[in-house]
Amino acid sequence: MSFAFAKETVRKAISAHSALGLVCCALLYLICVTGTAIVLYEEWQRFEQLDAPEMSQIEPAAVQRAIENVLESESDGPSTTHLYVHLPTADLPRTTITTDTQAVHVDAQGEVVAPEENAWAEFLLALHYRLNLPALYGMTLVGLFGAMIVALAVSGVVAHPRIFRDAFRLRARRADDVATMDWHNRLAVWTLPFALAISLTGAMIGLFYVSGGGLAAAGYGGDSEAALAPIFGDEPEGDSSPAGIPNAAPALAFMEREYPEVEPYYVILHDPGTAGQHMQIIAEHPRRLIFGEYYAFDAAGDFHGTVGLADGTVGQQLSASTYNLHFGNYGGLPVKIAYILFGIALSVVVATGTFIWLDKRERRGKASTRLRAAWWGLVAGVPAALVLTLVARLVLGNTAPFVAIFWIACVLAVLLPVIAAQRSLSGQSNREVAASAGMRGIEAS
Amino acid sequence: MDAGLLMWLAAVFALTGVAVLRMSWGRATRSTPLNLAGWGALLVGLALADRAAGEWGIAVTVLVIGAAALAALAVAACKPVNRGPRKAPRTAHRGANEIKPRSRSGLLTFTVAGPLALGASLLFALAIRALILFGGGAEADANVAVLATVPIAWPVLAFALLMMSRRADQFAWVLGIAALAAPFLMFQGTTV
Repeated sequence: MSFAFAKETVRKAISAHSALGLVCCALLYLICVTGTAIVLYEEWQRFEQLDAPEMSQIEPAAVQRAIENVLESESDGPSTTHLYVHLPTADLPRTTITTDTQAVHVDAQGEVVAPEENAWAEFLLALHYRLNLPALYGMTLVGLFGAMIVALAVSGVVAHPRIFRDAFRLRARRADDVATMDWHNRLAVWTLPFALAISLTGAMIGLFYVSGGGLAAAGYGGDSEAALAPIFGDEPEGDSSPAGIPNAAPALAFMEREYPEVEPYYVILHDPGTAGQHMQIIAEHPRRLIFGEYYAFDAAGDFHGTVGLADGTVGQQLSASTYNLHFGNYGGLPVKIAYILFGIALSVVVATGTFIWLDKRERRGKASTRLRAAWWGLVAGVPAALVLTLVARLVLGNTAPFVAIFWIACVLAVLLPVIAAQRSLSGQSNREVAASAGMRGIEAS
Repeated sequence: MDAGLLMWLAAVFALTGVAVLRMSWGRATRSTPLNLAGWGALLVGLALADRAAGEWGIAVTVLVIGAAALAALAVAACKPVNRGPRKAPRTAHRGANEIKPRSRSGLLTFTVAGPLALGASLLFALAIRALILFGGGAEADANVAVLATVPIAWPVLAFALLMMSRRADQFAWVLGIAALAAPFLMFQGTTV
């Protein structure tokens, strides 16, 4: 089977594909590699702090005790605007409370045990999410690159008339240009649904500042929260006058009693200790792509309804499905392993794409020694730099300067091979000059 | 039938589909019945997954299809190949880059396919939002349409623009889309 694109269309498509790939390749590769690693976000957190208390579940009364303990520990400081209780899940069987100023693990009785130490996992997430840049610029940049994967996928399909006929042809053992091309095309074809899913969801998340900002400017007087309220619900009017600590225990008991089929994994307290405080419980719905449903409660733990992410409009359900579909956390370890496999494949597609361009360039007689050295440096350097930061985490601890280590290692990984290639070229050139001079000397004598 | 059992059945159809297509595409001559059988098995697998667990089932089954294909590729990668002389790969687009491209500003191409096309895509997405609201659609759906349309419309438009040989065509498409969509900006406050 083959698509009937005209030869000229195919040629233009490959030119467009090459241009897009060249503009994007370096950061796209970084985003693919870090995206592959961040699939194991929860597992990395466990690895970073092996001695944190773990439990398969926690009693509602213990959750309430933990909330009170944490708020008590902050009683002489500024009040937190939000308090998040991460409840134990299969992937991350820990109870962790996060406020505006701290994050602590608690035990099954609700006692604070230790501060959360997951700086490396957070660094990795920030690297993938926003390239360690401020959110506005970083997320937008990553979103733009996500959209470019869509463009590369479309142009790649148009540029490949024998896409199905060759779908199982992989002449890897030739170890030449043909093998590189086969790796690129075959992996690209079979990762196409995955690539489209993660790039569209990634671009949807990353381009929020563009699309959501545009929406807010056009329809909501620039208020982004108002633009999102129809989808994710709105925040009730605040009232900062003092009030008692909200009671999460009845809310959690209500969930157990009324919604036994769902799995609560977050309790969120909004403006705790004020008259305007309220609670939300996020619960996972098994065998759904949505990240969960918001269940709203007042400070006394009385139920006030859901937002509609699980059973609301198509748009709400679609929007709530982007995160899990992107990060691959909707089917336990098997789905995570599949995402890692496809993530590696996609990284190989990006890497080999540039090698194909370099091969073509060299076939046209243009030397690409330094460019090839730089690309090899990046391809090997990004995962190596990630490993280096992980080693730094193990050796230097939670406060290691991961961002500096990673980016310096990446720059060196690109520069050192280029310098080595330059020296090799200079040495070769000197030898040629010497040989030429020697020949002239022989001729003269 | 039990949803779990249906998911396993979906996986079996998915694996069968990949195996049949592997057999079909590996033949010297094209076989329409085998192609249809392969694609049919994949479709049945996806339909069963949808019945068992909706979009979650489809997502998982697509992963099964991809993993099965990668396993088939791993087998292909290990097979010995004829070690002929090293040569340039024969592809449909061989020599495409040897054609001297029409000389034009890369910066302007970048500007047209990048920010201008992104702006036009945003206007297009906002026009879709207005149409959904006009049609009595929910505000949530209309807003999500904006968030979901931009990441699709922009890369497709950018690719289409890069395929165009004439600069005038590029501007005509970008400005045309923007001009057609811009009037809908006046109706962004409309909710039904």
